[in-house]
Amino acid sequence: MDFALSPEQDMLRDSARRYLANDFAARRRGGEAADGARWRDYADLGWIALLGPEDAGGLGGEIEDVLILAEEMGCALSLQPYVASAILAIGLVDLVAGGQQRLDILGEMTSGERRFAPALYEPGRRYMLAPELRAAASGAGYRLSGAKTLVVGGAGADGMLASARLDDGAVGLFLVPMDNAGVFVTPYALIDDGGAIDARFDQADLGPDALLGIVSVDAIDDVLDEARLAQCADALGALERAIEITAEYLKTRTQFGQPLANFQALQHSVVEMYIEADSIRSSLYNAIAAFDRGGREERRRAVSSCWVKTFDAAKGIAGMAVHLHGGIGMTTEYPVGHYLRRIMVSERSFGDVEHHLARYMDLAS
Amino acid sequence: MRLAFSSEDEAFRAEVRAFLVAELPPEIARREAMGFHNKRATVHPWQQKLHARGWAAPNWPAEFGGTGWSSIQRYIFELECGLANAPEYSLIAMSMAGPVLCRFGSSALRHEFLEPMLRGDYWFCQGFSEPQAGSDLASLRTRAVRDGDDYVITGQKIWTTDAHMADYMICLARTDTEVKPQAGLSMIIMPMDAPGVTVRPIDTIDGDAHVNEVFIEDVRVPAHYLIGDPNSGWAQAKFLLGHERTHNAYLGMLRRYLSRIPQLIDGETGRGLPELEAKEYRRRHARLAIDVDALEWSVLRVLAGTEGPALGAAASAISIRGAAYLLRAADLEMAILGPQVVPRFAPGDMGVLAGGAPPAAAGRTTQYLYWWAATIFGGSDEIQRNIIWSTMFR
Repeated sequence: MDFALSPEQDMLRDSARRYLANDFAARRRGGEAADGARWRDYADLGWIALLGPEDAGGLGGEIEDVLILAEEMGCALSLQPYVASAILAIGLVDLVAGGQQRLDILGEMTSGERRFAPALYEPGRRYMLAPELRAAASGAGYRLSGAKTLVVGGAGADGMLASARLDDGAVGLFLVPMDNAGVFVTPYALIDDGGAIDARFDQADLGPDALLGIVSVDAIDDVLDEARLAQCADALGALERAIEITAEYLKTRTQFGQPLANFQALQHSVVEMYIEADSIRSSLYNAIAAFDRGGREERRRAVSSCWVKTFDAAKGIAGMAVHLHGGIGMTTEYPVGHYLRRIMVSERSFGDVEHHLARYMDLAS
Repeated sequence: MRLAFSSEDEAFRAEVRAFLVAELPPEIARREAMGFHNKRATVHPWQQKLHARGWAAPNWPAEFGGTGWSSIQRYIFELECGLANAPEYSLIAMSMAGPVLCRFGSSALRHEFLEPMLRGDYWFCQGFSEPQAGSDLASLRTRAVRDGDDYVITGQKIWTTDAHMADYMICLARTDTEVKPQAGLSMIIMPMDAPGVTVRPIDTIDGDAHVNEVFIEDVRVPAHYLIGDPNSGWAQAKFLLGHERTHNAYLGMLRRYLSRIPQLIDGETGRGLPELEAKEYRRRHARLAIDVDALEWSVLRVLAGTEGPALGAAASAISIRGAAYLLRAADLEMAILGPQVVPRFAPGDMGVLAGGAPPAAAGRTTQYLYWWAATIFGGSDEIQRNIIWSTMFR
C-alpha cells in the first residue's frame, strides 16, 4: 500500500497548478472558454497525450496521472473540455478505429492539432448509450438521421465522435465534421459557463471513412468509466478548493467584533465539508485500486460507487461553501459560487447518482 | 502509488481466515453476532487459542510477546476477526494498557503483567473519565499521594467499561496539584480487589451491563505500580488514545452488518415485508456499502502513514464516520425487522422469540442503542470536530 505520488506525478501537479492558476481570472475577462490556444497549450504540456497509446503519440500514462490533472482543473475552474475531448475522445478512437486511420486521428488529437467532441447522448434518452441516431448505408458511405444532445465542447471542435445504429443493428462510431452538409448545430451555454451543442442530423451524408469502426455499448461504457473517474477527481479538486476558500474567508471576515472563524458552529460546518470531501478522496482510491486490479465488473462497481459517493455529497459541500460566505458567495464576481455551478453540471455529465446507484446494485447482486 | 495489498499480505489474510475457520468456537461467534457483549468467561478460551498461536497481542512489539505485525497486517487481522464474529478479549488490556506498559513500564512492571495479559488471565479497565472530567479530561480530580512505598489513591471514576470484571485499572490520577492540569497527572495500575475500591454498575439504555462507577477511597497501591516517571501521565494517555487510531472505524463490525443485511431482507420478504419497502432497504444497504468502502480506504491511508500533518484529522474523521455508519447499519436492521424488534430480548434468548420474531431479531435494539455510545467515547464527535478544525484550518 503506497499512496505517495511519484516525483513525476508531483511535477505534473505543480506544473498544472502553475499553468491553471489564472484560469478563473481569464474567464472573468471573457477569454478562457473560446481560446483554442489554451487547448494547444494543453497538448504542448503533454496533458492530452497522457492517456493516449504509446504507438500513436500518446504517453501511455496511468489513470492516476489523469486524475491529478483533473483535480487541478476542477480546483482552477478550468473550462477546457478536457474530460470529453481528451480522455473520452482519445479512449473512443483508440478503442474503435483501426490501422492507419487510428494512428492518424490519435496523432492529430494528441498533438492538439484537432479536437473532437464525443456525441453519445440523445434527446429524451437520458444516459442510455444505445443510440437511435440512424446510419443507413447510402452509396459507398452512410446517411445519418437523428439527433445528439449535450455534446460538451462541441463549439469550436473540429468534429463529433457520434455513435449511431447501422442497418444491421450494430453500433458504429462516426467522425462527423461540424460543417458537414445536413448537420445542424445549436450551441448553448451551460450553468457553469462551459458550452455544449445539440446536433440534428437531417440526411447527413458521410463518406465510408467516417465510420471509425463497430463498437459494443459495453465497450463504450468502459471507456466512459475513465472519464467518469476523471469527472469525480475534477469535482474533488473543486470541492477541496471551495473548502479552502471558505476557511480563509471565515478567518478574515469580522462580525460581532471577531473573526467568524471563532464561532464553533461555523468551524464544525467547515469540518463536516472536509470530512465529506476527504471521503470522496478515499472512494477515488478505491476506484483506482479496482482499475489496477483490472476486472471489468469490479471496476464498474467501484466507478459507480465513487460517483454516488462524490455527487451525493458534492452539491451539499459546494452549497454550504456559498452559504458560509453570506451574500458575497451569491455573486458571480466571487469564485466560490462557481464551484457549486460546476458541480451541478458534473453531477449529471456521465450518469447521475440514481443512475450509478442502480448500476452499482445491478452489479452487486 | 501502489494501491494494492502485497502478495505477502494476501497470504497472511488467508492464514488468518484458515485459523478462524478452524479455531473459533461457533457458540462464541453466535453470541458475538447477536450483538451482546461477550463475557469474560466466554472470551477467555478464545484468547488462549490466540496465545497458543502467538497472536495474543497484535498491538505489542514482538520483544514483549506481541506479533510484530505491520500496521497493514494488524488491520487485516482485525477485519477478518470482525467478519468471523470473533470477540475481542479485553480491548483495554491488549490495545491500551499493554502498549503503554511496553513503552513506558519498568522491567519489573512488564515482568509482572505482560505475560498474564497475553494468556488472557488479567482483565483491565481504564480509569480516565470522572463525573467532572468527561471531554475535559485534564480537569480530573482523583489524586494519588505518595506515602512511603505506596501511593494512596482517592477519587471517583465513571463510565468505566468492564470495571465489574476487571482485575486491574490503569488509573489516571493527579500526582501534582501545583502545576498546570495536564502536567500533574500520572498513570498508575490499581488492583480492583484492593480495599477501598467499590464498583457500582450503571444501567444503560441498551440493556446490557458494561459501564460502571468506581469509588476509590484511600486505596494503597505499591509505588512501583506507577507507570514511567511521575507526572508523565498526560503523554502516556495521549500515546494510549493515539495507539489505535483506526480502531474506531469499526470496519469488522460494519462488514459484518453489510454481509448479513441482504439475507435479512430476503428472509423478511417471505414474512410480510412488501417488495417496495424491501427495495428501499436494498438501496440503503448499497449506499452504506459505498460509504464503508470509502471508510476502509480512509483507514488504509492512515495505516500507510502518508497522511503527514493531516493524520490527527484523518483519525478523528474516521471515528465520526465509524460511529455514524454503525448507527445507520443498526437502524437499517431494525427497520427491516419492523415490529419484531420491539420485545426486549436478553443474551440467552434463542430459538422461539416473543412475537414470533426470527433469531436475528435478538440483539438488534441493544446494538443500535449501544452505538450511540460510539458517538461519545474515545472523544465525542464534537471533540473530534474541534481536533479536525485545529489540525486542518486554524
